[in-house]
Amino acid sequence: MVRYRRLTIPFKILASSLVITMTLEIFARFLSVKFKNNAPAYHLMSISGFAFYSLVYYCLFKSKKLKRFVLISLSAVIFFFFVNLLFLQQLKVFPTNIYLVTNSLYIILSLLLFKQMLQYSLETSITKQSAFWFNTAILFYSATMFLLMALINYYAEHAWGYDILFYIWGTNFILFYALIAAALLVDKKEYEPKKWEMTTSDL
Amino acid sequence: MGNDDIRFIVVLAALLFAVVIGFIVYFVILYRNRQLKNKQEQEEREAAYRQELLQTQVEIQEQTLENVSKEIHDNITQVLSFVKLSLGSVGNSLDDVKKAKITESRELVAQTITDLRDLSKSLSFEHIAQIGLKKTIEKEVDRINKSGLVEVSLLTEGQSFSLGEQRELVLFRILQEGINNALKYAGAKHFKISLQYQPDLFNLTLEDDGSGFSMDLLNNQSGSGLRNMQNRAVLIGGEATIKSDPGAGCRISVTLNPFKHIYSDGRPRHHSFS
Repeated sequence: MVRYRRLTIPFKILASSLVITMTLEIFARFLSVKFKNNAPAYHLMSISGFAFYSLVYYCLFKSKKLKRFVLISLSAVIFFFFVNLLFLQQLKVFPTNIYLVTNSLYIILSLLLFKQMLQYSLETSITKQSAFWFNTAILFYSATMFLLMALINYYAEHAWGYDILFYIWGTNFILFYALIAAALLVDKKEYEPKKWEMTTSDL
Repeated sequence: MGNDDIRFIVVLAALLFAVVIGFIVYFVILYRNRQLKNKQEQEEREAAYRQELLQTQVEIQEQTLENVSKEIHDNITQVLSFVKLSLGSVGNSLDDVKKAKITESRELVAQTITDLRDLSKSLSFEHIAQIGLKKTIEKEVDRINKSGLVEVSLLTEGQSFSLGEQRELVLFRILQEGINNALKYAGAKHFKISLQYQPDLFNLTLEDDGSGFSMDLLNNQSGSGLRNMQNRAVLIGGEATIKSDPGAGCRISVTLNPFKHIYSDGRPRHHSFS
């Protein structure tokens, strides 16, 4: 709570998303025990996760064009979420389609943020920049999740067991939360722009 | 699901991790290079700004000194000349005692006029540009020696040549600052100036036997005059070395390459201050 007050706005959003994710994970566990199917919780998690992370990116991007891109992609994903829920992968089916789409967008957003970081490089060491840790976390997470979602669909077709995929998933989660923790620990309002002069125009 | 499939998945996942890690490492290296480049650019911008600022200060100061010089020459000395003439006309109609006093006053006024003309010349950029550094220094030495405040000696080595108007002016201002410091702060009795002309090197050394100072002074607010001398030397593409110890006088040496451009940004040598 003490650290939360010292966080910048995007990382306050990120910290809030962790609380929501944790609550939904508990909910998923409950559904898994009670109904032997926790897919509804993952439906919620997929869309809430994307909403929070895209808001974080919205705050981190400097260019109006990129901010608009984030808002448009968020609207498109919400629309696709309902289409998928109603027609493709209903409440009891794990929403791999949504994860595939959102993870593709996460990869694009993280690459764009890396590009922006190069354009507006700060004097501060990169290891002390929360945006770097957050973006690294997102890139690792989304690249691995993209692979996993593709494989889950493939495995489902062949009716294979998911053990190895869950192992990779677990490793990915540990790495993701470790990097997010680093971002939250490093983030401070004081680190905000002691900025180098702009070198190029907006993206 | 066979072993080959598991191996394939593990290899695929490892490959993905390796690609992402590779990308991150590449990004960090790229970012670090960008930071270094930006830092270098910023330092260059700051240096250029400092140089620009210093040049502006020099220009303003020269303009002010030029105005003061003209005012002394065109106004004060003219008025004093008129006073001298008036005293001469009054003196003829008085008795011997009063006449002697008037004559004494006339001589004093004449001396003041001469001193003011010399001062006017030492302040004037045009005058320095006209007669060159060596002669200007010689005249300055005479002027100060006449005042009796300090004993100044000048030593010249090598055949003198022109260093360009701007450089000579800045060097002369450094010399004036050095003399002023020796008189005002160090209480020096002797002041030694040496000019060394070599084909690829010029050196101006100023030495005094005053009270000296701790070198820490260069980092203090009170050492701004000394730092200003160093900055001025840099402005003309030279380097000023200051050495002093409490009780051991002070030695200032300005060295420059006569063939180097004056300004680091490549501006021509004959840019006028006025």
